[in-house]
Amino acid sequence: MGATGAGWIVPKKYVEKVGDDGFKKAPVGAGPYQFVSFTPGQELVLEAFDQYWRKPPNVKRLVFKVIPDETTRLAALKRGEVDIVYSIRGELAEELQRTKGLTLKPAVIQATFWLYFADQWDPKSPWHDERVRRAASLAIDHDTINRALTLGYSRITGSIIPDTFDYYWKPPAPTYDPAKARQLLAEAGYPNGFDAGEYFCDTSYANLAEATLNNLEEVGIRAKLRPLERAAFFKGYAEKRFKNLIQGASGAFGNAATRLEAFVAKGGAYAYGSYPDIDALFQQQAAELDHARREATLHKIQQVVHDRTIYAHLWQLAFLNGAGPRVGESGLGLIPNYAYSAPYEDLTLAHQ
Amino acid sequence: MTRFITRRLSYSLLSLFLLSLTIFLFVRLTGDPAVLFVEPGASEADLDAIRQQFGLDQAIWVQYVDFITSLARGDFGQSFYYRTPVFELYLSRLPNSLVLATAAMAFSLLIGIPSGILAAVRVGRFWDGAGKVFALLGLSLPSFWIGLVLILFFSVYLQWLPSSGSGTAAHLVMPAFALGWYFAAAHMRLTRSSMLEVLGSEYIKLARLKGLPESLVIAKHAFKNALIPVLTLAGINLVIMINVAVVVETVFAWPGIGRLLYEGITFRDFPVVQGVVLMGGSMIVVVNLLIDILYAVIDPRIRLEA
Repeated sequence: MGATGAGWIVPKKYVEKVGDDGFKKAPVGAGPYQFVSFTPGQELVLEAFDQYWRKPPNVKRLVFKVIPDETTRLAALKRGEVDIVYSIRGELAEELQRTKGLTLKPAVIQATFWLYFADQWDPKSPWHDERVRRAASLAIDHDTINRALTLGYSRITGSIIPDTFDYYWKPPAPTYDPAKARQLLAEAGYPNGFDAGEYFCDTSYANLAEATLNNLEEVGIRAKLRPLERAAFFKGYAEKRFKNLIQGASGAFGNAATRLEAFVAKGGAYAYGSYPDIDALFQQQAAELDHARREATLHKIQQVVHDRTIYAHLWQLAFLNGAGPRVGESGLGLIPNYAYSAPYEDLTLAHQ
Repeated sequence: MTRFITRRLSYSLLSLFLLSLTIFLFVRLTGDPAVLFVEPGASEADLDAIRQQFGLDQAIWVQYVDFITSLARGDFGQSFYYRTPVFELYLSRLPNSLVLATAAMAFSLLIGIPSGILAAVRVGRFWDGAGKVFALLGLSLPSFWIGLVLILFFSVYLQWLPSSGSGTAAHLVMPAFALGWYFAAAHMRLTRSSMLEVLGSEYIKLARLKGLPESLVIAKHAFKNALIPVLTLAGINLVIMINVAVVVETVFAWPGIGRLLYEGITFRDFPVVQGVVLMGGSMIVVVNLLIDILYAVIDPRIRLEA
């Protein structure tokens, strides 16, 4: 047996015998289903492997179809052409929920979204003032946005660290208080608000950005939306070319330390600046071998990140999926924080 | 004539070279594909490893020379995303696109030409007005909207047709309509204007003066001549339908070349985007070259002027 770079188990002798190209045409793994056919960009067909060590799968054949358009996916589910669909958002998710026989299956995953104040280290920028950053955070109506876009299923935690990560520190729940936000802006010297420049986001989540931007404008923080295609957005974000406001997100695996390393600590891939006290604490936890003491230090860092409003939390995303009437167990939500159906051997049809 | 063909051929090769350079550079301006293969927050070392694997760590001119030399051997490179030769992917999608484009073209000609003729022979009257409205709607309604309305009506409400995919004639109906609708309007407009021009010419007046029945004047004398520009446009449109039906193929999950291009753009799969654009560009260049040569054969003034 050997492990591929992607991280799953493949039979070493078979790979050596058929070579990479042969393996690509007829792959063999160690899962509950065996490969039947794959048409790139169209479909993958799998058949149950009855001798799977855990148990024989209930559903004999799985067909994975690629339907890029969200509306078409929902139409296919409604017509019974498919039994499970992934990623249905907003009004379409409401439609799914309303439709008799269909079941909405939300799954909160480890992808947190936030608003990053990229100019907070520039003393000339309004974002340098912690009161302005806190005003922006208070201006965001998390619950309404959550209800409108993910039907209230996303989790509002107040942190850039997913609540399922090791060393997670639970901050106070974010509050929506536009009056307090205006007061803080006035105290900071912006009684009439200010022009905040640009608000960068990945186009896939421009709906979240539009809603947040509207909230900011309501308290006088005026910014121009700059949605960019995913690759261009993350390239610009990582190269630190953006200014003003960035709607960031991450679904990377890890723990609180790995997330802080990328987004908060000095030299982090997506950190536009850092604070010496946080950097010192980060170094301290990295060298700490005692679990409890390391945890305490990481909690302290998260508390400082929160108190200083380095980020304004938006949500921990709920991925909305749907299942049709033929499905018994969809597998959606069986594995915590996982967005898709799994384990496949646990899927059942309604009559089974 | 040989000189004319040689010159036209060299223009075509120059066009293809410029196209290859443009698409090579433009696709690289759109972002870094490495970031799409890792989660945000991945280390720079992970990103570098991916760039190295795809050859994106090389200087841009080295990448271009590699690309062109491979192209000269007929190798379009390997897809970053599917890890499959691009030409193989292109050929696997081509039959689907040919079927869809042929059906859409048949629909657009069957609707566009008769309605264009009717509008021209009834100019200023009801059918002309109706034709103008049809052309306006056809050219202004976006195909994704038409596609979604068709799915809602015929798949969800009436349950007559499958919402997406391919494999049967029923799968073809809605995408062919959505794709052909725009081109039907374009063909209708061109047929109308071409027919009006021909109907106003001297030889048509003479035919009428000789007492030929109007149906014969339209069908035999006017229609044949008016059809030439329409068919020329239809030829170019067919190539466009084959290669860039991106929106319709995406909405209906039709596994054609347009969707391959969409996937290539979405995943920043540079070899796929380059391959599809170059294949489409080559088809257009070849069709234009053949048309130029045919015109020169038919009309000696063209090759003499050139």
